[in-house]
Amino acid sequence: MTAEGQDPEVGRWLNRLNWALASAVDREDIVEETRGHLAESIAGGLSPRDALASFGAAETYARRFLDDIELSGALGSQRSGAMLSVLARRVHTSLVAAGGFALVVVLAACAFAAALTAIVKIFDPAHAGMWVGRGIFMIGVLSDPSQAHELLGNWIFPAAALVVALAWILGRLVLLWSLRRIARAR
Amino acid sequence: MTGEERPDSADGRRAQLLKGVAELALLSLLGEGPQYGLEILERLRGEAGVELAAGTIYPLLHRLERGKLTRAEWRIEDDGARPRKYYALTDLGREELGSQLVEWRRLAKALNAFLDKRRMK
Repeated sequence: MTAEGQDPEVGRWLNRLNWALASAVDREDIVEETRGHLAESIAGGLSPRDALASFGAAETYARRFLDDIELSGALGSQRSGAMLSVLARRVHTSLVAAGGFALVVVLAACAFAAALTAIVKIFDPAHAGMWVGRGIFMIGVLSDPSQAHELLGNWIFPAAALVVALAWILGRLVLLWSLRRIARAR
Repeated sequence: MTGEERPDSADGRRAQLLKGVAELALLSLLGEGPQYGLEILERLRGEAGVELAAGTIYPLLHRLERGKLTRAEWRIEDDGARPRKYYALTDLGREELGSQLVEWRRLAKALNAFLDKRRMK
């Protein structure tokens, strides 16, 4: 489609839209549809400025499509990395995203601590484990093992694997739930 | 709050209310048959009083298309005008329209009864 007779201001706005939609697979479709709408509105008597005003800034307009593509793409693929990345980008604008992200961080920290303790247990079995003593309950590395006694022994390995697996499953459920809530609220 | 701020605040309230009903109004309009963006926008404004901006309607149309509630095709009209992208409801879209209508009518009935009861006091 040619842009013959197009108002220069409209042309610049469409160029900015085209650039802002660079990562969208249906960029051409969106730009052509918008170009058609603008041309028809202007032909109908609207000034180019008023026609553009109904779309707002090209970057803001593009963002609406990109947010949606990103969200539906992450939910469609259900890949943990993609879902986490989409959730992280919405932390400052959505309470659901902030809460979900915080929960995933806590679960990841638990999984990391459990895995690290199991690894340290291999090299330093005297200091790593699940410790219980006066005012002490912890999973990790205790510098003075005389302060508490260790409960799990070698069971720390399956226990750590269980914690990692549970954190992974719960984390994915939190990601899915949060993104679905955000998608429904749009 | 100053007098000048009131229209903005009214616009903001209207925008919030419209956000919830725009999708229903759009699905309902498409239930009549395939239509293109500008036509949808003008009919929503003229017939339903839903004052959506052009910058709102197209992302919504694309979202519905991605959700398989609508399908779209480019058509060239007989009058030789620019190609237009027409949107039509899919079977899934008709189901969604039915569900949203039931939910809207239930909610509107309950809310009207609630508001009327308090207005009479």
